[in-house]
Amino acid sequence: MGRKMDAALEEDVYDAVIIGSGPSGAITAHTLAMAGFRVICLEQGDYALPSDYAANHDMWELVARGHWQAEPNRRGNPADYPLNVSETDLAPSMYNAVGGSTIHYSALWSRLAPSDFRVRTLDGVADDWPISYDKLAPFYDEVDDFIGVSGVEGDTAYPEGLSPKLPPMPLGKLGLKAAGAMNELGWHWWPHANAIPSQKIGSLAACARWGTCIQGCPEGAKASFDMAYWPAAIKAGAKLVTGARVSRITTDESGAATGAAWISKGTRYHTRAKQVVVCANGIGTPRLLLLSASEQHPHGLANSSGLVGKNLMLHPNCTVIGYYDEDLESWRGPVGSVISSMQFFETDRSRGFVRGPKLHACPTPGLLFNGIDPHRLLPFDALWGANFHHVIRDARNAIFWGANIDDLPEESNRVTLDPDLCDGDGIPAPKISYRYSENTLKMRSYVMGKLAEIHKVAGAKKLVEIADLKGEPGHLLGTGRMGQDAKTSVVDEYGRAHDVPNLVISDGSIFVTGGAANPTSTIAALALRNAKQLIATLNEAN
Amino acid sequence: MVTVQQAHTNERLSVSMPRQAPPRNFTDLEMQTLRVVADTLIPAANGNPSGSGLAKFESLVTRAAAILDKHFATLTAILGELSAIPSEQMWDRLRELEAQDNETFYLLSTLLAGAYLYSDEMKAELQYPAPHRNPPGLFDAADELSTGILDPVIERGPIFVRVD
Ligand SMILES: Cc1cc2nc3c(=O)[nH]c(=O)nc-3n(C[C@H](O)[C@H](O)[C@H](O)COP(=O)(O)OP(=O)(O)OC[C@H]3O[C@@H](n4cnc5c(N)ncnc54)[C@H](O)[C@@H]3O)c2cc1C
Ligand code: SF4
Repeated sequence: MGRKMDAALEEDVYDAVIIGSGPSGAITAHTLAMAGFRVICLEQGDYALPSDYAANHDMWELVARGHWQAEPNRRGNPADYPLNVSETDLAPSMYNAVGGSTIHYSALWSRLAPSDFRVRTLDGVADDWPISYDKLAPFYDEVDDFIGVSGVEGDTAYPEGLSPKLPPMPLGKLGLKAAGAMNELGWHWWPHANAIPSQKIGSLAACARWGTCIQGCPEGAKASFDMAYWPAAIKAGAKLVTGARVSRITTDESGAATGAAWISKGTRYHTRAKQVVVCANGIGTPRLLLLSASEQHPHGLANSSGLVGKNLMLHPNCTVIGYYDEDLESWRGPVGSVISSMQFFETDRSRGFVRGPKLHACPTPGLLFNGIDPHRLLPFDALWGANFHHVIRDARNAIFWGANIDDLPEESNRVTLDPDLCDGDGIPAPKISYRYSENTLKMRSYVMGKLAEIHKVAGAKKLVEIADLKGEPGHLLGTGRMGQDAKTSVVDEYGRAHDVPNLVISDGSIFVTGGAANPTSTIAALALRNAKQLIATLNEAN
Repeated sequence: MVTVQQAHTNERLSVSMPRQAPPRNFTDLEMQTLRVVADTLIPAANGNPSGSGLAKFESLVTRAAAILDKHFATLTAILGELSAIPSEQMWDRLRELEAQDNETFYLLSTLLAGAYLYSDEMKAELQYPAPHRNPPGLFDAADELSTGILDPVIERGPIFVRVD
């Protein structure tokens, strides 16, 4: 970065500085830039390119393990910050790059259901959201149409009007097998909507079924937000600075935000802006707010409620992998999911827990991923020795039936600043404290039984049950939740901090409850809604 | 503007690429230990080669070690330890390693299983495709749904709870 640019960055006052370039940051940047505002996004990572991904390499599954791990502590790229995971049942996953964690995501694109917004009213636990499904629906639709979600109209698990823009990818042999079992059981299923276009759209290619979506899409098809939104945002005038690690949000004597202090290659910078929008995810955002404590905000920025960092939800995932005799072409993508089921997602108190899981059936590319690794949970000789040859053959035809668990908010599940651990720039790292609740464990054991039942009806010859699916909880939610009351929430329904007049939070932190749906579609819709409100605020101020 | 100690070099921040070669070559003793471990975990059976019975075993494990380069020190440390174990005791020692130091066992066994699965012999034998482009036919999805497979779900109607 030359000196001229340094000076420009320091002296300018932008309309908004955005921290983090994942889906929430990308949508905010695009929306504000399209409306003519001067926006700058600070991202600690840089670009990953389709040609970088594991699928381009020989021994791609080893490359995925060695260099494309989903957990930052295992990956340890310069852009990553460490997490203290000594007191958590789950080590969170994320990716720190342009596009954020969507570099890794599987692009399962599902919405919260109407009841997810009314958990207190319906189930007497947690809290209601300050908004409803109906209020969010137009924003869901707008993002879906922009990125070109593939799927089938009319899912009976949702209100009328859910209509993905692009036709679905084929179910394939695997999807047909899974769907047939669901029909036999009389359970709900639907072709899963995926943020993976079946036809070329915008800056995205059509999916060519490589099947390596979680390790990065070599085709440039998956709607990771570096590909799906950033080209349009930059074209609209948004400025994206990579390698810029924000160390604190700065404030003035009145307590209002003035911008962001950041570090790049050891040099410190400050960018000034009228509005600060934090999009650093459910862990990076509370970390930054806690780092930004000041005289006016002694417990951390926007933390008069004491709730910043609390109520962390991680959506524990579990799976039952079933192995079949017939050729299911399980290596075919996208991964993505072929079908979802919302059969059990509404509360039924006779099950002994409230809320419920979302189920999804996925292809299983890779013999290490879906043969060897699951069998490690079985006794040693079930995998090694003579059985090894059976395991790798069986793995060719497997179905991964997984479930997201709606882990309800609990204040004891939280992100704090670790007193000792720091990132490469010397900034304190987050500590994750997270324990499964009784409701979570009951829901998990219930759904594990259901997943096994589906496989049995489908004729699986062998099942491997994985209650604790590692590397999966990339759903980072609840640590700066929204609400109407400043005493019991951090931000209002538009992500505006109750305590700071010009600070907006737009990532998964602001979820009130987690729901069972994969969250990015909701994160994206909320970010769009918040950004549109911010346009009104900026227009008023001008 | 305050300058702090240079924290980063000019390397890419969000991508780390596998090396072409491990930090150093395996020694003869390490290679021999790898052979014993490979044959213990993957014995020859029904015409399938053992873990080390691959034509290019040495280059495959070397390539795998290059990819898993971040863990090379752990790998060579455990190979050093295992080199003292007689082959007839290796099964028990590996089972013990898995129970006591799962991360190290995972690394060692992943390296050997990876080398095995990505060998020419096993690729030909398993006929399991590596990731590749295989776009669907234009009408594949429509053909599937036109069989009426979704009809039972649609007939049962909405399953969500209406609120407000
Ligand atoms: C393996 C995996 C699979 C997943 N699969 C799915 C799926 O199928 N469906 C789904 O809906 N969701 C999935 N997710 C979750 C999805 O990726 C996230 O919900 C989504 O990316 C969140 O968007 P975000 O903008 O809030 O945060 P992120 O995408 O995490 O982006 C945050 C960005 O902020 C940057 N940042 C953080 N702190 C700082 C700082 N101090 N300074 C500068 N920059 C900073 C980070 O580098 C990062 O790029 C998955 C996640 C993982 C890891
Ligand atoms: S299956 Fe589709 S989305 Fe997944 S990696 Fe391949 S082309 Fe990309």
